[in-house]
Amino acid sequence: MEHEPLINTAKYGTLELLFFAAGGLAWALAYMGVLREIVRKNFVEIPATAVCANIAWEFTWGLVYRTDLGALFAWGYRLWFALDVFIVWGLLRYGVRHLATPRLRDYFRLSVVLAILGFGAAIYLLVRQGYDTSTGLVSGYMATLLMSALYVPQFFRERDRTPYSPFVAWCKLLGNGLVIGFCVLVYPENHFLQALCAITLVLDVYYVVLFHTRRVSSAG
Amino acid sequence: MPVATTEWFNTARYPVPLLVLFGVGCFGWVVAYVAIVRNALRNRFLEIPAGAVVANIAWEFVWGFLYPNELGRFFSWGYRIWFFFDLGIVYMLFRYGDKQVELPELKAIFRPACVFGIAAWAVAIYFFVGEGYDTGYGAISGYILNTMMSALYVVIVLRHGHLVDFSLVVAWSKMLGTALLTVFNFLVQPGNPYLLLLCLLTLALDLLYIGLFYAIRSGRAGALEAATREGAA
Repeated sequence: MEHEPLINTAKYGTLELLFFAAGGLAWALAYMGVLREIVRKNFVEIPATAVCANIAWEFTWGLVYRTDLGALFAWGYRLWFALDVFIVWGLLRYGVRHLATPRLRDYFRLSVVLAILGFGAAIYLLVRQGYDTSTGLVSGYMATLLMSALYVPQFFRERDRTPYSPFVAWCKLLGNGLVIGFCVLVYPENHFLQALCAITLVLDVYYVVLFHTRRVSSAG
Repeated sequence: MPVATTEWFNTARYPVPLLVLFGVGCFGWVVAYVAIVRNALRNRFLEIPAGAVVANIAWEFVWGFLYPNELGRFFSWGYRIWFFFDLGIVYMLFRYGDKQVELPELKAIFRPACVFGIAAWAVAIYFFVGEGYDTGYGAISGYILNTMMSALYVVIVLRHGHLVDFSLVVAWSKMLGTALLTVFNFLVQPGNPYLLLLCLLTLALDLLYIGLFYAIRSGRAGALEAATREGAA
């Protein structure tokens, strides 16, 4: 069996690896910011559908498939998964707050479980079909785009926007931006992935602008 | 990349019964589109979720005009007819679609968001196909949208709370149309489990939607109906 390097410098350049590592770290910080709000305010700011897609992606790429970036990154994916397990726990416990119809809460937990299973199966088969990159970024950016798109209407819908964290908004933008840098360097020929990255970036920037204009007015 | 064919019907690759099956499935969607436009004119409410409309028109544009259809030119024209029907739905989206959202802040950005959604989906689907991820007749990109649409239909009927604005004809024709296309995919693409999973997820969500529709209408889902009304109030 071929020995897996800690960091795959044979296939990826230093700058590329730095982009990915810094982006991954920013995402880990974003997750910690989300967890802090869960603990302090019983509030899960990531949209429920995005949480389901995320945990499914992290399970698939952390535990079923393995990135070829090296062992360190494979454990990074697992760290994301471990952090996201707590976010899912928070979602199951407090996520009903996002529902416009409070009496539908009986169906909420079942829907979350079914959505995780659905996304998990879809991502597993998408990768098996050969549609993904060896780092999981096609399926990853499909899930991220979904999150970035859902953040905007959810933010608008909340009457009280104070639990939303500026730290998370910026870490999410920074994390995506840096991993997008990796995608541009490593997959310049994959135009579909580039399109997903560009749309995600536009939505993330819009969210940060929205956040700073509307949250302040909401708090005021 | 899809392979261009000069034939009206690509019977060399797809036997006639399969093409008939695909054509009937597509017709189910034409029935759904006509019913959606008719109901939107009558109710001044567009029942098809906005997120699905913007994805649909983008898919029909890309597959109707930018890529050839491996099934034959007849089906390219079929996709174009869908596109032109869908233009009517997009018009309704811009006219009545903002009733799908309650908050004035969301209403204010509704139309620009729709324009952005159409452009973003079109670019994404164009490159998805160009990258070689799709089948020669757009099934994978089509079913990614379809799964999303079917999930959003369940959400919108629960959130909106007024069943009179939703059509049983649409519910059935979209389910049957999709189901026939699902059978087609099972016969033609047995080696593509990702596509087949999307087909099954869509079917399950379509059946759930029909079940919910009947349950709410008959009053058996009393608590659910009360909940949706409470949410709409």
